[in-house]
Amino acid sequence: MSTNDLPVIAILGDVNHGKSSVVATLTEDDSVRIGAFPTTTQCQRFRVRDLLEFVDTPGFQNAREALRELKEAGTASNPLSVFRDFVARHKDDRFFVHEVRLLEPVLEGASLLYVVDLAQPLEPRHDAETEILRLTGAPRIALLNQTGEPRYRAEWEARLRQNFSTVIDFDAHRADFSNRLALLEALATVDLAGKAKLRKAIEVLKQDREDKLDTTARIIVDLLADLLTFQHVEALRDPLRVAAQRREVEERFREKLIARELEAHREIIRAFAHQRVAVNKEGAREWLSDGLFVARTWSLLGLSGWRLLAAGASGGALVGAKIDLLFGGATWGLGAAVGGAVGGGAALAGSRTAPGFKARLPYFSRAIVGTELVAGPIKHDNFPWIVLDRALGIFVSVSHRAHARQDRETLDAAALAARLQSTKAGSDQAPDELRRTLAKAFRDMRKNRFNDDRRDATVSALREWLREISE
Amino acid sequence: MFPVPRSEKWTLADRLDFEALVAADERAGDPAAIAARDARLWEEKIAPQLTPAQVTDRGVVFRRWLEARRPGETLPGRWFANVWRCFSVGARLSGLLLGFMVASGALYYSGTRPVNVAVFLAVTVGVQWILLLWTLAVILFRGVRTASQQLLARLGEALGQMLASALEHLSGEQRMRMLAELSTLRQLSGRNLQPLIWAPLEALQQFGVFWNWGVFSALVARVIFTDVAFGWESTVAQRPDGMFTLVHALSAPWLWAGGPCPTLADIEHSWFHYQSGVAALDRTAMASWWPWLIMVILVYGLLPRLILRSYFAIRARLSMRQLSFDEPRHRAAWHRLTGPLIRSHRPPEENITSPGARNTLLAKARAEVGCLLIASSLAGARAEIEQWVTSRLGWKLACSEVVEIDYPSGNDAALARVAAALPTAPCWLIAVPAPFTAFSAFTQFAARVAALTNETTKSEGFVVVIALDEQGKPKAPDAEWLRYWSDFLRAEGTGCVTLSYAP
Repeated sequence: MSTNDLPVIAILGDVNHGKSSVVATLTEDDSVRIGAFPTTTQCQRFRVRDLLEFVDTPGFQNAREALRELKEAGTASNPLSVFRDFVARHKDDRFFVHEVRLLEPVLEGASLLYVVDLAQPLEPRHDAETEILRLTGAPRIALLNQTGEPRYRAEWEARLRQNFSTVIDFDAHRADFSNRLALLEALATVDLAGKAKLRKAIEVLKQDREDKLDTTARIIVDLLADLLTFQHVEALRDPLRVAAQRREVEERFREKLIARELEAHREIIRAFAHQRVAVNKEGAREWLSDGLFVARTWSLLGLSGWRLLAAGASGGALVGAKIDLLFGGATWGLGAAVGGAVGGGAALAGSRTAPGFKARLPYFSRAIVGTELVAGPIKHDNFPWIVLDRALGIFVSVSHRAHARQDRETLDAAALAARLQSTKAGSDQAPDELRRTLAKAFRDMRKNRFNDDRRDATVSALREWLREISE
Repeated sequence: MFPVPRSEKWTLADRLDFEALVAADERAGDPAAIAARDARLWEEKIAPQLTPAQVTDRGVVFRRWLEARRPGETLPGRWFANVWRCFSVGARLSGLLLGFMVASGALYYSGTRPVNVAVFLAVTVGVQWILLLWTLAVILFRGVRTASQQLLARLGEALGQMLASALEHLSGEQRMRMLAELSTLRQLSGRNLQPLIWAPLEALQQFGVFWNWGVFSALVARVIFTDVAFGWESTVAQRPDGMFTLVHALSAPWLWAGGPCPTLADIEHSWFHYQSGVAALDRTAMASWWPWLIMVILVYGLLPRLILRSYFAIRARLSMRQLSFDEPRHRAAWHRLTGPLIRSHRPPEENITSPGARNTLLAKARAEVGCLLIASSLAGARAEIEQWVTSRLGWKLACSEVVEIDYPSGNDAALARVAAALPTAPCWLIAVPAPFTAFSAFTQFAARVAALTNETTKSEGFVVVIALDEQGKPKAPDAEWLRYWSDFLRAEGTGCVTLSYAP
């Protein structure tokens, strides 16, 4: 524990074994500098919502020499005094600048996470590092990171188990929220002094995760509501040149839809604190290289024919049933049957093909008074499901993406469809009940009946789904 | 083959070009290509024109190398020469103009009050002397020097702190590069940048010389073409005797030759009082000052400047002759040029009779004796590394030891054997792995090796960076690791030449 009463967790290890990557992932901060070469000579402190403080330390660079002087801590009544003497003695010693710095949080009473890379061989200096950490007597866990093929797992595991009670696999580039929680839980079991605060931190982090899911669900529902009702209207300039202006109006309509979708994607990325991606103006575009109106997007995403048919049929049947009701049941359910057939047929006809979509894109008219061109809203049955899938694709990517990753991710429609398939996150894989709820919500949106209560109910259903697919 | 000029004289522009070329070679991503290029230059363009005595003269060899490399390269020397010429002309022109303008201002005369000779001399000559005396005080008096150094140190410290905090924002690789460049600059700023120190001082004197010419011109022009009255004033003086003594003392350098000096009567009759006004002064006495003023400007203004200018010019030329080529990057280039050349076949015997080929062979035959220290993580490839050192570097190995480079205080037995071999094998080479991360430990280890070598003779240190493949066989390191090692060794100022293993 530190003087500011926050649990402090120091990340230690050899240079280039992935300390900074672990810090980036644990703090969900992709601004942490990560490099193959020693990145810092100072300790970098990262506070997580006033709950925890992670300290990224410079790597050991002269551990064997340092151990020669620190060995006496093994027999000293107060081992930390030996470390304090060492730090005082070598404060300005260029040969021990890194060791002095990395021992600072240890002397503050930090818990220790020792990071090793299973792709790199175990060498005598690593023995010195683990021995130094053992001599500190601080609560400590060894993390098995891997930056490549884990060729030296057996050697590392055997050696680390001698000096660490807990050894955990933690791939900084793949670890997700549950891995982070597991690590903190493990730390809470070895750090008896900080146990209560660590448990509290875990609870807050869980709630924080819930908030992110809720935020994402709201972003997606609002996006769908906006896109399904969006229209672009322009005054007719020249009645003799309608065709040319129609193309312009159509293009502007598309651009506005794309911009609104892009804004929502950015909001989702920001909700998960992926600044490295979101900060880029073109960041969201980079995630999805195929645009909203690209034919491949329509052929690969959204609901498949029969599921769409089912959704469309139920919608049509609902309309038909109302007609039946209007005639006091005199139609004997014919309205519902015809409505279902018409709705389903229409949905099947224009389900996944780009030409079908194009034919139905914006409806142009010399509107009511004949002086305006109106584009939208898009009536295509699969349109909301495609928008939903694209948003779910972004969500799955960012929620599973470790903040240690420095690469930029680009998904074309096929890759996005594959990712949704593999994570069972696509609208096609959604539970029937959720699909029904969403289909009803889409109808309400289109008819401007999507009030706050319905919005909350839809958000709630979608949030449950997001939780399921993010675990 | 084109002829390479035989000039051995180095100018500042040459030196800059040379440093730019070796620095570019140091940063090059393909060391093997650089080595092959230099070996070819040596064979084709340099060695054939060298006499046997010149083969080991780095100044001569590098001069030829520079001339052979210059065509097609964009180098800073010519640019520097042009800029320097502009700067030098600018210094002269600005000196002349400023001197003329300041003197003209000080010679302002409206007929109501004479030009005060004391003010005129203070502005035109006095300021120069204050600066000169301050410089002399810095050189001669420890107290002034210490105060000046402390001031400079504080400034340097502040700059250093700013630089350090700026460096922390860089990535590890960028920071190491920056430190390496600073370290190189620090090393070069010893003997090798002396010409760059003297040159601005010489330019400053140029400014001073032309300042005095400007003052002289203004004074002569005013005297010839306008009516100027000179006088002196004082509230405390009761009689003109003191002024006369001062003027007489200042005139000493030219009085023996009959040079001008106002008489006591002239001084008395050019003593200005506001109460009496300028009309009360004697016209001849007021005019008697100007020849004396001209002599003061020439002797106390111009002459010291000319002397200093000549001194700095001579020092600049001398410093060009004292340039050394002992920096690691120079030695790396030297090693590439004169090291052994691996051939797939022997040259025809008849070629050996030609002077060029004879010199080439002479140079290549200088096999060096060295000690090899192999990092323990490379011990499995010891045989290959030893074979590479003897064949590619042409060394005869006096000793070969496996050492733990991350454990500086260990290795006693191995280092004792190295120490025993060093007197006869002044070159040493450490084979280091890439990747490698215990750099502080290596710094300490290298310092220990350097201490051993310093105890013996002048020695040259090398570091060869080696990577291992999946089977543990040595291979060339990644370019970025090679560069990182090179930058690290430069930043630490180890003086080691960084080599890349190339099977």
